[in-house]
Amino acid sequence: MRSVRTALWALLACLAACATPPLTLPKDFVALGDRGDGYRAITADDARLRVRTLDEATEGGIEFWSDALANDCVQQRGYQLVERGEIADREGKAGRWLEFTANVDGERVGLLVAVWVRERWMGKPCLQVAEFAARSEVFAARLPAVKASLATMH
Amino acid sequence: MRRLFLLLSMVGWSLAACHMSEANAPGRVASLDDVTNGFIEATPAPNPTAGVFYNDGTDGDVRARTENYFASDLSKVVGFDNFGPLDGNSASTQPTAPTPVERLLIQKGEVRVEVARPDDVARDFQAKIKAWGGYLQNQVGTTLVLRLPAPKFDEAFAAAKELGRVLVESRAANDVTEEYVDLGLRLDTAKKSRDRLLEVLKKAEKVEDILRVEAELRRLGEEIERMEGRIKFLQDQVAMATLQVAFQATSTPPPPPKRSRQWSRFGWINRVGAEQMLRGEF
Repeated sequence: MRSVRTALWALLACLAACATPPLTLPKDFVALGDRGDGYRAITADDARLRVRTLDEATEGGIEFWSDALANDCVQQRGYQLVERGEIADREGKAGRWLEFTANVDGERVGLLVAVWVRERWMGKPCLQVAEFAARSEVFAARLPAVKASLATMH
Repeated sequence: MRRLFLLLSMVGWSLAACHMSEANAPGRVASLDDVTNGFIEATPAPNPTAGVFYNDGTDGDVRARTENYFASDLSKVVGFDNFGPLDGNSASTQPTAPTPVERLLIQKGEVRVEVARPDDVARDFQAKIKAWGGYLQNQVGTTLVLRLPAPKFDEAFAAAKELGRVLVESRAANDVTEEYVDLGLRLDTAKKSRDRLLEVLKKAEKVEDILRVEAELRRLGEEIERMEGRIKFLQDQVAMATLQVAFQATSTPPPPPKRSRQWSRFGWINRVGAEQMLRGEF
């Protein structure tokens, strides 16, 4: 009986941890919650932020994954890579960010993708991916705050 | 007979020597016209090259003064410490071939670049120029006018071009060597004239003479200030190059994605992107 109660507490603790936002939201963003496709937030001028944990069976370090993403976006989708760099999360874990400009339905938009390689249960790796996208002008205005917010990821 | 000839010769030499030194005799007061026209040297230094004409047509005296000017003043110009137009034998009476002179160049350049984020790029570029010892002279929006040490000009020009798609680029170097040397010589002459006028002023007794000398001193003073100002301006322009960089936002969106897109073999990459984020309901 006691062990069942302990297990229930542990389960509740896990659920509470899962419900915690994965980052401190930047100014003007409102959380939309998680519908099963990641944690989402949005601004009144339609800047969008999403954080997801994505499984990837292939082993690869952070350099490999950031290069793979950059290559696909530039060579297959016609994005322009504006800048890329390193970022550390709240615990100091190193990730990579890439900034692109892209053409979506004839409109110029900006996209920021930040990637971390995380350890899951049983040592299996997964990728935590944060995306921020908006129209070009909105994107440029909000980018510094979003980058600062990404440093609070966990 | 031989003694008489020797005696006459000595008398002749003495008279000639007296005549030659008369002009610079200590008791003689130079006239105002003599001084202002610069015809009389106050204490002419012995110059073995005086009167010797070189292959390039310059008088030895002028040449020596020019080179002395280079040696004394030009080495002070920032970035031109290795300026070395002087040969060690300039005092030699033997004509020498003209030494190649490192030119004094005022470097200017302009670059217009198309970038994704003009504000950020302009800020970063300005920081880079500051790290190189330069500074921002003027800014209108994302158009910067920067001054930077001349030796860094090429590097900065290339760095600006690497920041985005180059729309306009131009550069020019204005050679001011001749003007600089000419100004130096004229300033030297003007200062000597002013010194001599001050001597004349000390000895002048008539009020009319004093007024004339003072008026002339005022005129010379203004001229000296003007020339010194111009020399400082040239030194600054030569030492610090000017680079105007305009960062312009990219006006057209990137081309749309290829129709024959190949999906990534890594599933998570296919789930990431601007289209997925912005199309439809979020």
